Amino acid sequence: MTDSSFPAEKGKRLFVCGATSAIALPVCRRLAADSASFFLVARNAQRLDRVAADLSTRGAARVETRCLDLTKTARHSDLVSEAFATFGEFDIAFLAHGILGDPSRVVEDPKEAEKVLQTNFTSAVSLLTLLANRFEKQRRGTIAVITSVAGDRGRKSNYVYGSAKAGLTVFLQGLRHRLHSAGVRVVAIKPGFILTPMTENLARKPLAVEPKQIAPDILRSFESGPEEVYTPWFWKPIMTAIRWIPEPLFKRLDL
Amino acid sequence: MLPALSCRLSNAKNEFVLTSLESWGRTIRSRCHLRRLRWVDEEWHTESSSCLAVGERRSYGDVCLPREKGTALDCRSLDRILHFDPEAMVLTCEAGLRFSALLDFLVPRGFFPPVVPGTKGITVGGAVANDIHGKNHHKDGSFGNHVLSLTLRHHGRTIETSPQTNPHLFRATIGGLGLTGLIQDVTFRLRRIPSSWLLQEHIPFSSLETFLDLDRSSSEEWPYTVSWIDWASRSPKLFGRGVFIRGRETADIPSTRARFERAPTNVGTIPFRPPLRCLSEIGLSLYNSLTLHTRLSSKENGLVHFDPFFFPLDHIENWNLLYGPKGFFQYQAVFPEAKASSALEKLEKVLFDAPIRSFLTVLKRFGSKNPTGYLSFPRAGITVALDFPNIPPHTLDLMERIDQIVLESGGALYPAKDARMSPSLFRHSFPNHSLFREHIDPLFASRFSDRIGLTSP
Ligand SMILES: Cc1cc2nc3c(=O)[nH]c(=O)nc-3n(C[C@H](O)[C@H](O)[C@H](O)COP(=O)(O)OP(=O)(O)OC[C@H]3O[C@@H](n4cnc5c(N)ncnc54)[C@H](O)[C@@H]3O)c2cc1C
Ligand SMILES: NC(=O)c1ccc[n+]([C@@H]2O[C@H](COP(=O)([O-])OP(=O)(O)OC[C@H]3O[C@@H](n4cnc5c(N)ncnc54)[C@H](OP(=O)(O)O)[C@@H]3O)[C@@H](O)[C@H]2O)c1
Repeated sequence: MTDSSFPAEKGKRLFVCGATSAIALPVCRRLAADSASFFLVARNAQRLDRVAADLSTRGAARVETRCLDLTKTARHSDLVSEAFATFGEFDIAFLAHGILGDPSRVVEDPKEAEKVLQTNFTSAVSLLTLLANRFEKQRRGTIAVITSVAGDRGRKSNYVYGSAKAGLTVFLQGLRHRLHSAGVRVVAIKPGFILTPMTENLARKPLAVEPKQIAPDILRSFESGPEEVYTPWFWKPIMTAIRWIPEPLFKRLDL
Repeated sequence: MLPALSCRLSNAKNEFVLTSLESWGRTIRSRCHLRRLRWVDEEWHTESSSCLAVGERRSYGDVCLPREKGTALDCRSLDRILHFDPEAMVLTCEAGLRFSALLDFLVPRGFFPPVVPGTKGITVGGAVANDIHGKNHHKDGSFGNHVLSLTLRHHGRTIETSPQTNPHLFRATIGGLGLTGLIQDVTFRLRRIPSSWLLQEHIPFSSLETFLDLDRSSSEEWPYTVSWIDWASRSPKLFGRGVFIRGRETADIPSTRARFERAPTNVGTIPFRPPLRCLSEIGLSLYNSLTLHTRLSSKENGLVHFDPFFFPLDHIENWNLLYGPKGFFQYQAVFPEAKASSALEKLEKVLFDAPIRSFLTVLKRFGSKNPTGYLSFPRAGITVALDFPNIPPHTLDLMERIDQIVLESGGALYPAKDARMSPSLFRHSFPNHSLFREHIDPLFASRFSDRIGLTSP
């Protein structure tokens, strides 16, 4: 994957959206320890500054931050141009932004549903299209996006979120197909339940693990192996089983 | 992993469901709300009228337990390192950073925390709020002596405190048992180390007198000292023997060793909660004889990695479970210099005649550096830490008898280890308690502060 024109001793260069995400943190920390450079994007400036400081002290060669509400897709073009102007090239684009939506409202209020789709799907499609054009030209690198096991089958508890992630997973399949000949990896990371602010208030979180327990899987997916990754691994057989349940039966289950 | 496990099981609908929290000694539980903080700027809406910031809950008693139905603010995800200045030897981090992670960061860079306790499983916030001490107290004082500034959430506002800015609040917060508010960020001075190795010596002693002599002759040249004494044996011949352990940093290491080697990560865990106490008196005396034996064998003298030197108990992550469901008490007192040797003699006599035994007894000299906090425990003298299994009613009776020795000598008990001291013993131990009181944030309280009368439920 690493091109010979890229000096090996230099750390990786990452473009990270949703940089204040709890799942992204241990991943970025690991790379910071290997002198990676970061272009970080999230909404909350104060929190973004803390993450940037943490990555710098832990060894990041360079950290740039931009505050942006990523649902403002009109700003994406400038954002991506600025990022590439600053770093030249990126080894990894890592999309970790997302929201679950207010579970009580999202099924009844179309505005809330739209917000969930915009944050998890529309904004990602816009960014990925711009990033794909760049990565196609640089003919190297990895585009990695956090989707979710929730996209594998619609369930009453989170089907709006799930449909956004399902759409995203299919979009990534197509993008992977397109960028294959350019030598670019396109990775869809599908976590199960992870203990982060996003899941903090969920009543049920079966088999939940801490973000740092899935960081090694995510880091590995940046480099090699399958480009659709369930993490922790046991979600793959679980979701296979869940997909197999016949619809007439599934409707009656309390999942 | 014990605290983490109990949070996980109870995190479901974290806002409304009560969680049963316990601390290291497992003698007290609090049914409370649990709120995991992720960001220092987070607004936590309290379901209850009182809360308490908590770290790894490695305190033995109730200083780290919120009131019944109160809210525990779990700070362990506040673990960002914000600034590191190797020239000035200063680090700023969020208060939930664990010492194990701090060591992983510092040691490869040639630095060390200024003070470490007997476990690397604590947070920086816990180190401040209990003003912890380590094996270097006789030279360097306690953790608070090295803190340069603190950012505190106090009365709903974020306030900077240091010896220059809001100095009284600073002094109240160091050793302040979490009662002055939520500590957000801590800036402290570091220690430079020549390698991750120490030169250690084990010297056997047969009586308190020889311990005191050894201690006097070692304090100057050895930055780290501690002693282990067998006050468990029933045999008068064995009772009172001990080992004096001293260490110093060294750059003189064989070429086969890496200069900065990380701590070993292979720790054992006890996979379930034993329904019975696994530590019996027979097992204990065997253990003590064995330890004494191996400690005296020559291979214990020489080069040792910092991890087994400072954190010998960390090799089994949750050894506290071995004491069974009733848990155990630790009793840590300090006897002031002038009265120390007579108090220790009295204590030795009481312990020899007692119906139960202290499984692990540690002696250590505290130096004369003035502590920063109004409620700091360390002060010049000798400190003793005893571990008692919880055997009603003997354990509480015995500790009350020892209280008398502490009172008579003008000594003090350590809140971090305490689950039962009386309000009056607290006031005798901490004469500055009334200066401290003015700085309590009324939103914060612990089972300890209610029990000894710093706050009222
Ligand atoms: C095996 C073992 C060995 C030990 N050896 C020593 C030793 O050698 N020397 C020594 O001094 N102690 C020792 N201790 C005790 C331990 O160092 C202290 O109890 C320490 O405070 C525990 O830190 P913690 O992160 O677990 O905090 P907790 O026990 O969770 O909390 C301790 C106090 O800190 C407060 N607190 C925690 N975080 C914050 C925050 N962010 N803001 C405000 N307040 C906060 C809590 O309210 C509470 O009052 C030992 C403990 C064990 C289990
Ligand atoms: N936790 C799980 O169980 C789980 C499971 C499967 C998949 N995932 C996915 O994993 C990813 C990371 O989530 P997490 O669990 O780590 O939760 P998190 O800590 O809440 O992270 C979400 C991140 O998204 C950012 N974000 C949200 N809306 C944004 C917007 N409009 N513009 C810019 N940034 C925005 C947030 O930053 P600001 O608020 O600062 O903007 C935050 O950094 C998400 O895509 C999520 O869907 C999570």
